[in-house]
Amino acid sequence: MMQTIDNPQAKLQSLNKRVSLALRIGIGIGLALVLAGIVISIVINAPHMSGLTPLISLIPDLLKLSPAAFVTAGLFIILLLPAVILIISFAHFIGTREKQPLIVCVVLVLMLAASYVLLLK
Amino acid sequence: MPDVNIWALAGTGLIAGTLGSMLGVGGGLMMVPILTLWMGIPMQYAIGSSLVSIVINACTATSVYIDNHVTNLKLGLLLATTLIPGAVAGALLASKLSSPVLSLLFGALMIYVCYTLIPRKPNRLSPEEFEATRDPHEKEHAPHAWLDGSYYDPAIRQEVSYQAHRPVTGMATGFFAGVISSLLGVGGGIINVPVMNLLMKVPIKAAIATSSLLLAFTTMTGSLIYAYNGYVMPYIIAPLIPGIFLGARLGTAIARRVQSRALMVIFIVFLLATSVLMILRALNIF
Repeated sequence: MMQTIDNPQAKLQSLNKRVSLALRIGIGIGLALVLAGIVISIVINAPHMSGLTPLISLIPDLLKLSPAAFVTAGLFIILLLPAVILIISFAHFIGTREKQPLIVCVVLVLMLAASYVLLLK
Repeated sequence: MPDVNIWALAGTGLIAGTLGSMLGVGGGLMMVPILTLWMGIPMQYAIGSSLVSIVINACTATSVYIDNHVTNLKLGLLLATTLIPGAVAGALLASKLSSPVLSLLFGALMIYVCYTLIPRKPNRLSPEEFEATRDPHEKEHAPHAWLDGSYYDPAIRQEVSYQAHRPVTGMATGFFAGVISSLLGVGGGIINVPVMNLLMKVPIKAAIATSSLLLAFTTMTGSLIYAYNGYVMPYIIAPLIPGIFLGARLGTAIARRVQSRALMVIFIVFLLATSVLMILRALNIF
């Protein structure tokens, strides 16, 4: 049977493929940055990275080849991946005009935003 | 902060990543005791590292499961809408409730869940008897047909199609799962998987895959907050990450190839061990 874009199963499979690709790329970049941080720390003989680099000084520290900055950058890319899943799904459901999953995505975005505000207080 | 062996950390990540992704439970449950009791890392740093590890494990496992169409993305997003507020409520309640009593009650409840999960021989019913015993919710299924799913199971070499039942009950239980996971730091997987499998009639493989997606959402908030407060140390987390990544790939490959029944037995053994451990900890025996 030929799968067309009107086929709901084919649409869902294309969403699955896009989410999987985004996760693989994100994990790949994140992992590469973390591994680069480990290698630099071994090369410069500084095994004890004192803490994560503040986001404001992340780019200057990356340019200085600070191992902690590489680990921080890799970590934040990976930690933001669930939000990427949400954005891709939201865009997909807008395109396919599926009402229920679209409402779920909107509620989820609001929930995540509210939980950050509540917990960071 | 104690000196840590990077190979021991990588090995810990590999074991936690394999079990966590194979059973959809994240792996934090075994990681925190190893980091604190064996390596002497302070509790808050161990929890911060564990939460970050669960996100990495869940994202890696989800990238594989969703590519194979085992994850039910719509169901995962729906359940996350109550799991996240549950996790926030649990975090806010954590300082006000007695953890040992909750651990004791939760451990006892999980032992009962293990009993109900034990695979039994299916009853052979006549068509009339089957119709009489059919779940009444099945007849009211149409409004939530958008949550139905299907995937190819290589272990039995056939397509498995299923309906997700009782979404409202699943969401209510999801809130409870979120509260418990934050209160006891156990990760939502040990609640999500039985809820989806027993209550919502989602096959065990799809339940495990969808639970991995849910874990990514519920632990993302917590791990960012721990990182923001300085409880994520690069020299602890950096060696863990490659181990978790490899473990998650290994765990998903095992879960895909193993028969559902065998996977269920492994899950029950893991759940039982966890429950007993929680009861022993609550009674100050372990």
